[in-house]
Amino acid sequence: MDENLYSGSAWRGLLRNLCFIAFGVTAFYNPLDPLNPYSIGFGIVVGMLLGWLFKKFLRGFLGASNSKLKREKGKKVIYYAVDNGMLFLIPFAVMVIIATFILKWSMTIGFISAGIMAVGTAAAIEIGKIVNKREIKNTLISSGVSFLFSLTWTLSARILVKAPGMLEGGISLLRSILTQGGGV
Amino acid sequence: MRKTNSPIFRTIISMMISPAAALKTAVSGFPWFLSLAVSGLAFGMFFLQTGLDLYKTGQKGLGFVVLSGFSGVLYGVIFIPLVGGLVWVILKLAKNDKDIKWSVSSFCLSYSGALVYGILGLIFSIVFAWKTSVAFGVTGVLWATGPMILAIREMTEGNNKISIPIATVVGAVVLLSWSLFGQI
Repeated sequence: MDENLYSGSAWRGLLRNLCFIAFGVTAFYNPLDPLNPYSIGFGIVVGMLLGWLFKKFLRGFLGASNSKLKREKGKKVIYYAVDNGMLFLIPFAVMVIIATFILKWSMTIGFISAGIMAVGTAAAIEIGKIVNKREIKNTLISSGVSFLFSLTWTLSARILVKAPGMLEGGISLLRSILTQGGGV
Repeated sequence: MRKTNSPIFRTIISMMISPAAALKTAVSGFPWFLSLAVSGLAFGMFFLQTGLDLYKTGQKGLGFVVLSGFSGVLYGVIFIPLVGGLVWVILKLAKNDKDIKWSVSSFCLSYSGALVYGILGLIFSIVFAWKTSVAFGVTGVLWATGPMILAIREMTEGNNKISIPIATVVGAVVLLSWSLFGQI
């Protein structure tokens, strides 16, 4: 098991980041201006930030509630469970890409929420597999953290969707001040 | 009657909330034809809502609404069990020790969440005249992805490298085929 904890962790990390980048880019995708660098860049940053925070919170809460397991096998065991659980995002990331770029849907929040909730279930299962016992506390904790992130994403995405436009406007204004001294 | 109804309802709810436990305990004892009814009704309601949405916008007539519901039932009763059977055949090569009935039942029961969302969506569609096919229908279908990955994991002794790609393909095919139906 210990060898498994380390093997493939870079791949798991890369796949997790790619999934959250897909979530971010599709959430702020503008069909009228599909190659807008501000929307794409903002999507990548927000997606990766959400992924990083979600990973940290899930590791933190599951680690705190499994202190005995952490003492016996090291904190890598929690990282392994969370990172493996995060692989459950892949189907949702692929589906959100299909929905946004092939089916041209704009309401894709549901894909991200469902993916995040699936990760919660999966992380608890992974810990159960390691200790050979399914504990309801792990399911409750990981589902609770996932629900909070899913809710936060659902609520904040509606507000953040305006940000790339504001960012573009702000940078254009700054550029005009720097190059033309703010004159029209 | 009461003895039969309680496990059916309990299995549907636990497949939605705690699929890992349900797959280990309830699926093998669940009658296969009832699992077909679950996916049949889930897709029947999902496609019916699609028809109702198109009817509300004046794009289709009432005949199409009835046809959609009927097509959805056929989709859930024929296509989903076929996918379950096909995945079982593929996984037979990966030393899958589950029988084909278990595979078909678990795939069909993965849509338990879609059935619950379908019932709710239909209520909101009829009573409040909401357009519900994406908000409720697609969300329900997305919900099925998690249990489906877990079902494939059960058949591959927890192998994520097989279960996640297969679940991704199945999820994408369901999404694309439903979208094609909406364009007919």
